Amino acid sequence: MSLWPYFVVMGVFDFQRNPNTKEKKLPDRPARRTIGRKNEDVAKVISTILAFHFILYGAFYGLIEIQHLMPDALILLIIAVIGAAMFYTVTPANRMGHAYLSSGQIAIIHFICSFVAFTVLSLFIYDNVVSTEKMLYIGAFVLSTMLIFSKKLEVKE
Amino acid sequence: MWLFDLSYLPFNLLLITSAFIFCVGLLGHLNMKFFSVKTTQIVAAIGGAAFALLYFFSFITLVATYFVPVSLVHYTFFTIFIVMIFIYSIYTKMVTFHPVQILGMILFGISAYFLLA
Repeated sequence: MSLWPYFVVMGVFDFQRNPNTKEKKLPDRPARRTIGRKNEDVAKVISTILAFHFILYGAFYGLIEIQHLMPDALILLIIAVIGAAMFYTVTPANRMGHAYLSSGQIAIIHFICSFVAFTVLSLFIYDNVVSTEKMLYIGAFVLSTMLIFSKKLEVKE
Repeated sequence: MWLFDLSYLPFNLLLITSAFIFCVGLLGHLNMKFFSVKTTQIVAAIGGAAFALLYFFSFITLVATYFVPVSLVHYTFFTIFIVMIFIYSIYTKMVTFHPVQILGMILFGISAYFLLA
């Protein structure tokens, strides 16, 4: 929800704009995305990154809880496989998002999705209820990063 | 603030290194569009495995040995990550010290201090 007003201000959801003025035009790859495809792309990017963080932290923190049941070498192997598989999955989403957003803005999406995934999962795994005071600081933290990376992406034709 | 306590330094350095790998990985694969998505995915997977191992090791040590709360390690990791992206953004002129961005920086400092304190 916190991403929504941000994207409105940044004009990411402005699908009526000419698509060619909104994304970087690479020499060998002309911007051909239609309005409908842009809509689909942004939705895909956010949902993939959110799913990535849920699976990554779910697997990671869940594994830490049951680590005493397995030998250390096996734990390290599973951790490496989880890391490799997750980063393999999220790479196309990042690349797709970069057509519309700067790297700082993609970092913010990761950051917010990570906070959401961590807060929800830690509630189930660690019974870690986030206090109202902490929620306030997290909100201020997210808002501040949005302000820092608030410059709109310049399109170079 | 626990982050600056010298007794945690070896494991904080691991945390900082893993945040650095995460940051370089993110910026690297976004800027190297001359590689195909498939090649980038394979490189990202190798970097992801290294990142996961480093993060796991520093996380386990800080939580199990030093009794640092789980949430604090997580918040610290992302604070370091955002600071690195911020430094890169100054270099690429995405952050130009516009009044709104300066306001964001002040708010970032205050909220990060209270979040990690």
